[in-house]
Amino acid sequence: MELDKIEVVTDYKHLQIREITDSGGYHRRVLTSDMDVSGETQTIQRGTDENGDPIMKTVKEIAEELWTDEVKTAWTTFQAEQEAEMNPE
Amino acid sequence: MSGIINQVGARSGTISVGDYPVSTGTVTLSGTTGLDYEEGSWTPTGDVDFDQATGYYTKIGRLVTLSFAILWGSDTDGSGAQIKSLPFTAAGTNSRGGGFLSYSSDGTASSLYMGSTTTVYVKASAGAGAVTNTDLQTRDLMGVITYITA
Repeated sequence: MELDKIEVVTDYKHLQIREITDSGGYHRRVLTSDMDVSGETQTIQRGTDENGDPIMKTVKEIAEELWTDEVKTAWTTFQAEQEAEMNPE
Repeated sequence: MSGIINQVGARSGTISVGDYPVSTGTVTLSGTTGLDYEEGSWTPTGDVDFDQATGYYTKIGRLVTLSFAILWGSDTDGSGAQIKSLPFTAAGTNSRGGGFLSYSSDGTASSLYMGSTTTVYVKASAGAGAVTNTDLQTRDLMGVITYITA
């Protein structure tokens, strides 16, 4: 599949990824900061440099920039809070 | 609705502001930008491997509707059955959605609710205890989930 679009959503910096399948349709998935992204080597343009040339980054590089220790801790805490709320038994 | 963009078969666009005829008159979509529309596929995952998993989504504005078919794996795992890898992150805790199983070869599983912004839990019924991965070993599930995106 070909990487088509990345959206950064929520304070937890989730990466919503849209890919184009071999048949031309869209396929979607979300990466969260507790996931292993070492294999996410597809590249996408993230802005331009001072010469106007595109800056290409891998999904892994984007994740590493956004997923600070603070973000990871906040996501882990939020997940635990939700788990306690929804599964109190 | 605007047409197909990007590559052939990739379906998305905007439902424009305006009047739409229905059987009893017209429905008016107001605002300034209309509603984004997109459809595609997603691949459900869980804490155990699924033998088969397919899913489709339709997103209109912030409302997402998912359908899926899963053949649960044969791993023995006593933790609560979860469906992950949703195509969009759900909005905060006050906007969570849920769903139902339209078919289950397990005799108990019937209810789906969003236990977090990224995970759906399988339950016997709303408010009931968790159905475990072991309960769903080699079971077929089909269902629908709907929620509001972040």
